[in-house]
Order: sequence, then C-alpha cells, then structure tokens
Amino acid sequence: MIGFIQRRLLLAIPTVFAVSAAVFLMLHLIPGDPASIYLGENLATPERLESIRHEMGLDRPIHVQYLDFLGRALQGDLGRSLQNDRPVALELAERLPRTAELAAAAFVVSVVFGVSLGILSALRHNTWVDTFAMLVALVGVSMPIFWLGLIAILVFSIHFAWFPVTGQHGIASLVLPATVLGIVSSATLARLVRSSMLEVLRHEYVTTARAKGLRERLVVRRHVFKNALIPVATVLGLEVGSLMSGAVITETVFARPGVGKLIVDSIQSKDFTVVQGAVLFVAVTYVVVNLVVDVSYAFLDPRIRVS
Amino acid sequence: MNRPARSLRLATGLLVVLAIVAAACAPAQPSAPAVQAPTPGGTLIYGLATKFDTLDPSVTTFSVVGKLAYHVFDPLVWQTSAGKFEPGLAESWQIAADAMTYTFKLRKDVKFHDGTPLNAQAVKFTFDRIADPATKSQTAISLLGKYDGTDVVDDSTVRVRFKAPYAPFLDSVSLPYLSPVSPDAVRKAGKDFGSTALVGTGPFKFESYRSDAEVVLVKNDDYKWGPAHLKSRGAPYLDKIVWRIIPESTTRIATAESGELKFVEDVPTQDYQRVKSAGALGILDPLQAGSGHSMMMNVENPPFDDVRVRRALQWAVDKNAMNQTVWNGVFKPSCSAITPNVLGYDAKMCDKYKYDATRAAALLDEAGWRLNAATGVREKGGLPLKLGLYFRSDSDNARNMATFLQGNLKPVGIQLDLQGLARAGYFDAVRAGKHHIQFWWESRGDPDVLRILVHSSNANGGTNRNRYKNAEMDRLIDEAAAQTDVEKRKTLYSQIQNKLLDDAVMVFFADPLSIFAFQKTLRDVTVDWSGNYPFFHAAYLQKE
Repeated sequence: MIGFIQRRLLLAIPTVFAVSAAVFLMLHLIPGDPASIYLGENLATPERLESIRHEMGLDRPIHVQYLDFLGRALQGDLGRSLQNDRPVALELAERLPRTAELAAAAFVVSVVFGVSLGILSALRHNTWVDTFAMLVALVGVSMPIFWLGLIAILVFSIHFAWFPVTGQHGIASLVLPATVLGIVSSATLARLVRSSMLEVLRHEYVTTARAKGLRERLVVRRHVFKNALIPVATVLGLEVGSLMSGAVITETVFARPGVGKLIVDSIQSKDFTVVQGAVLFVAVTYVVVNLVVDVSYAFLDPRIRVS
Repeated sequence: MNRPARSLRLATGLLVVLAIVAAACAPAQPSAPAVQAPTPGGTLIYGLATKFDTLDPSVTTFSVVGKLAYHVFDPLVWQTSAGKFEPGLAESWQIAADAMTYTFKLRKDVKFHDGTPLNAQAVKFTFDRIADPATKSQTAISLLGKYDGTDVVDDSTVRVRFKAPYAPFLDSVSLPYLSPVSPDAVRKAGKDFGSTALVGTGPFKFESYRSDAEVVLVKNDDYKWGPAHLKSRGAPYLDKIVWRIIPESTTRIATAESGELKFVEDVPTQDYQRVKSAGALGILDPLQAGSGHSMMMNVENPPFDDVRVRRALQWAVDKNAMNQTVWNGVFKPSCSAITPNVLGYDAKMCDKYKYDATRAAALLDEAGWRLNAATGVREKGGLPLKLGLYFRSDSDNARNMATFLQGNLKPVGIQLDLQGLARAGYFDAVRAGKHHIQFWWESRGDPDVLRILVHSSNANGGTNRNRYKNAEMDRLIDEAAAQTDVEKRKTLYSQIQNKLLDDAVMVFFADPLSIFAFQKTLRDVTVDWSGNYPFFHAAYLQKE
C-alpha cells in the first residue's frame, strides 16, 4: 500500500510540470499584451507600455520567463502578480479558506441530495418515483446556476430575510451558495448513482443474496450500494477538484471571491504569474484528491487491494 | 414510499410560488425616520462594483481607488465646483503667471496615521515617488503633467516645478491620487504599501484588505483638519467603513434592498426607476463629469478619411432613441466632448448636429456613397460601406451600444460589422488601428481631458484612437493647458469643442449619471461636484 502511494506521488511530479508548462504556453498563444491590459483603456502611451513591459519582465524570451518561474516555485516563491504586485501566495491564501469552506459544504449537500435521489430512483426503477426523480435531476443539470442563485437571493434573502445575500463571514452566509452549488452538482451524481445501482442490481450475487432470504435492506446496503460506489467514488473525486477551482459563477453571484474566480480574472488580464501559481495549486489538489480516490477503492473493493 | 417524492414536488412548487410572490410584492415602505442629532458609532458597509488593483493612490490605474483614498488621505486642495478651490492640507497656494511653478503653504497641525508629521518633505517624497518609473504609477503620473521636481522651501512650504505650463495642476492635486502618503510607511512596507499597509492623513485609517473581497477602514480619532464644505467637524461619526466588492450588479442591489449593505454604487439604469419608485432606498444621481459615452472614428481608415462621411454619422445617430434603448432613458443625450458640469462646457454645441437621417444620406451621396437598392448598403467604386466596430464583448454597455448602432445606421445604408473581442484581443486590435469605430468614456473632471481624446501626442497607439492629428487642435489644447486666466481658458475650450465637432472626429452619445442607492438610516452622505466620489466625512447612521 505504501509503495503504491509512493509510486503515485512520484507520478504526480511530471503531471504537475506538464500542466504548468501547457498553461504557460497557452497563455502566451492567446492574443493580448499584459502590459496593455495593466495600463487599461486610458493611460497607455507607447513609451509607458514599453517601460511596463520591461518592469514586468515580459521583454525576455518565453523560455527564460518560464524557467525563472519554475526556479522560484521550487523554492516556494510563486512570485508577485503582474497586475497588482501582491505576492501570489498571499492572493491564494486569502481565497483558500472561503473556497475550501464552500467546496466542503457544497460537497456535503451534493452527496446527500444526489446519492439519496439516485438510490431512491434505482430502487423504484420504472415507477413514477423514478421518472420524477430523474426529471428533477434533468432540471438540475440544465438549470443555469446563475439563475438559481439569483432566485435563491430573491426569495430567501430579500423576501424572507433568512440569510445574507453576500458576506464572507459565518455559517449563515454559507447556506445559500452551498445549497445552490450542491444541488446543481448533485444532479449528475444522482443519475450516476442510479445507473450504477441498476447495473449492480442485475448481478447474480444480488439474486443469490435475495435467494438466501437476506432482508432487502441488507441486500441493498451490503451488496448493491457498496459495489455501486466505485464509479461514484471516481466522480466524487473529480467533483472535489472542480468545486475547488470551478465554482466561479457561484462565487460571482454571492460575492465570495475564491480560487476559481482568481483564475478566470487572471486569465482575462493575462496575469501570468497568478495563473501559474493558481494552476499549480489546482493541479496539486487534483493529484492529491485522485490519490485519495485510488486509495479509497482499496477499501471499497478488496479485489483491488489484492491486485 | 412516495413521500420523499411528494415533498420534493412540494418543495419545487413552493420555490416557484415564492419566487413569483417575492417578485410581485414590492417591499413594504418604512415611514421616513425623523431627523435626529448625529449619533456617533456604527459600521457602514459600502458595495463596490469593481475590485482594486492596489490601494495605493500614487500607483493605481482604477478610479475606484480614489473613492477609498479620499477617506484615508487628504488632498492638498479641495475642489468644490468646477474650477473653484478651497484649502485642504495646503492652507494657501500661489501659481506663477506662466503656470510653471506652484507654491503650497501646508497646515502645521497634520499628522499621518503612523504619527509622523505632514511636512514639505512628505509632499516632495510623494510627487518624486510618483514620477519615478520604478513606482509604475498610472493615474497619478498622468495627473503630474510635465513634472520637473519639487523644492522644499521650508518645513511647511513646497514649490512644484513643471517643464511646461500646466494650468490643470490645481485640479490634479484636488484629486486623491496626488494626496501625500507617509514616507516612513512607504519605506517600511516597500512593495506591500497599498496591499498590507496604507498610511495617510485622512478621517479613516486602514485596517485590513483581502483582495477581491473587502477593505476595512476604522475612524481616525485625531482627525481635525477636515474640510468645511463636507461639514466635517473633526473625527468622523462612523466607527468603520467596510468596502465590500460585489461585481455582480443584481447581487449588489439585492444587498441594499435586503438591508445588508447601507450604501451601494453603480445602480444599473434598468433598476434605477424601480428602486427610485419603490421609495425604500435613498438615491443619489449626480451627472458624472468628464467626457460622456462616445465613439471614436479612425480617420486614417477609409472612408473616415473623408470628413463628409464622419459628419454624416453625426447626423445619423439618434441619441434620444439610443438613450432610451441602451440606458433606459436615464442618462442625458450629449452635445459636446465634455459634460455640462466641466469648466468651459459650451452649450452652443447642442445646436451643431441633430438627428436627421435625410441630411446624413445627402452627405453620403455627396461623398460618392450611393445606395444599392438590392442590398440596402451604400457603395462606392464597387465597395460596400461596411465599417468595423470594435468593442469589448465582456461589457454589457458596449454590446448594447453596438447593437443599437447597427440597427440605427442600417436605414442610412451603413453596414456595421460588429467585432466583440475579449479585453486582451480588443486592446491589441484598437491600438494597432484596425477599427473604424470604437467606444470611449472618461470621468476626469478637468477640461484637459480633451488632450486624451484628440491631441496628436496620444494618436499613435495611445488613447487618441481617432488617430486624428491636427496642428491647430494641438496648439489650442496646449495653450488652454497653459492658461491660468479662467475666462480665457473657457474661451479656448469652447474653440476646441467647436473644432472637434466641425472636424467630426467623434460622435458623443450620452452623459452618464453616477447612481448610488442607500438605506435611509444613513444620513449626510455627499457626492463631489464631479459626481465621482461619495464622501462619508460627516455621515452617520440614525438609530433604527
């Protein structure tokens, strides 16, 4: 087991490098000059553009810029933002707690809601319960999170005044964004749990378990649910990763700036150093989560442990 | 077993019903609170529409920093209306007749938040730091003009020298970007000044900043040099101001309507009438000084090298319809390159062009652009009259203006080719001069703002994306900037506005309002003459 984890960790190093190099290259291929974005609409004179480019180190060859970034990153220095000169590590650290908080809460909502909906509709397969649950899931998948967020604000913040609209402080300010984000991402999960459960239900060992006279509840819990969880665990892993970096719209609607929004903003302003630092962070998150998922397989399915 | 499903259905149904009910019910109107004596204490949360690049006023590119900076710093002089100045940190000042040197006599009782005294050295330090290229100053350096240097005459007297006459300087030092910063604090914080440290002389002290989220300021109990025109009588009433960044406008308005925030800026024009008629919130809606929403025409890109085509566009744009469509009738249709509250605005400009599609068509005919009845687009030498309009696709305002113009110009036989680009691609394209048309808007209150628009020094890839180069125009702008006599200056600016419209360099659409909404328990907020900066120097929260 320890050897397995070590191997996976070693494999993670080239992954992180490859991601950061690819992002760096892509950023340079997109048209747009960070200096001219920095100067904005009104203040750019040709001379000032030139001097800003030099100050930002953008007049050096691309590979020199990249190697410089790598060298410093290895020493734990992610550099300073091109746009506001703040340390990238500080920019990330300020947003991380709020992002993690939202991701964790939304994850819980998503799992509770998605898994129960999925199980329910698999067990009541082809009844109106199933149809209705999947309709809810379909609506969940197709509903723009932006719209759902604004409706939630309208109803629960303005009309009933139960929760604050924004706010980066306290549990109350977490309820609406986490619920909205969780519900929307639970839709996919519900569909996945349902189809995975249905597949397992068809297996012979389920028939055997029932034939043995095992109570239905035990059949479902011990034999069906646990086996159905393997593909679900993979998706849950990806979900954590995307919640950590992809909750941009929720962050925007509820004014809770997080890592996702930081990445989108810095891509738009071509703030290379921030994008690099943030992507490095997200890549590491994905690698760690995937590792946890892989390890969890071993617990879910003894066969994986043996092999 | 159908219970969970039923409750789900109920919940969904309830959500829809609630949404409809909430949307239909206007919030109950509280009775207007009786005016009481100002009560000290309380926290004001201010909803900002944009984030900060840095908080350092000497460095920033963003005008939003100025709103905050007016509370952490004090300007050397205050401008109370266009061209009218009152003492600030400077008790008095003298301007040399040639407008090349300015001498300021400073107050002697002012201390920075870190306890160091405000003196001539601090003013010199601030200006020299802005002028130093390593500071990467943006707005502030553009306000310094052709800065030569600052002399410390004595501890409380400074003399600022320029390489060329610079009459707009008094306007410049009335803005927060040239406010003195604490030299000690800058030396200590280094690059982190404006991020984890910010030290000025103003009514509020910096406490904390989380980027993209909020800035917290606390009151400065030692403050006693506040300006009389803001009713400041010493330390502010408010204990704290939290500047919270809420870029999404629907959310921002919702925070004011729910009472969570006391003051929000940039109320969209589509919400303006609703919020105003609901009556629950107070509204401040001053005209924003500067140059209104407009379009620049690239005179180097045919057919805009022909003044008749540019003049045709002056007659072709229906500004009233545009204001109704794009800004819900809230803004004011523009007459000139500067807004009516800017020094030197000439109301006679309103008579120069009116919406008249027939005249526009006649001018295009005269220029040789004949209507092709089959396509509905004018042609000349086999080429269609197709104009590239470049705009930022991430701006709703730009997109709405572009769509309106496309429909507005079509009946005249002009085809607009809409090129909505992301920020980076847009800057590259328009700085290289690929466009026929692109949009502009300025919030600088000094008439020298015209230099940004049409002076040839800004023409090659700079802000004058009309690429208009005219020696007579340059001379007028430079002369006006060197003129210290207000009446003479006004005459020169009138000539400039006239010439700008005669040469039909730009079409001016609408002069915007700055729209703020606030909870009525918040009292005595004022907005400066230019409509850009709200002041909380004497504001207080009435007990509810």
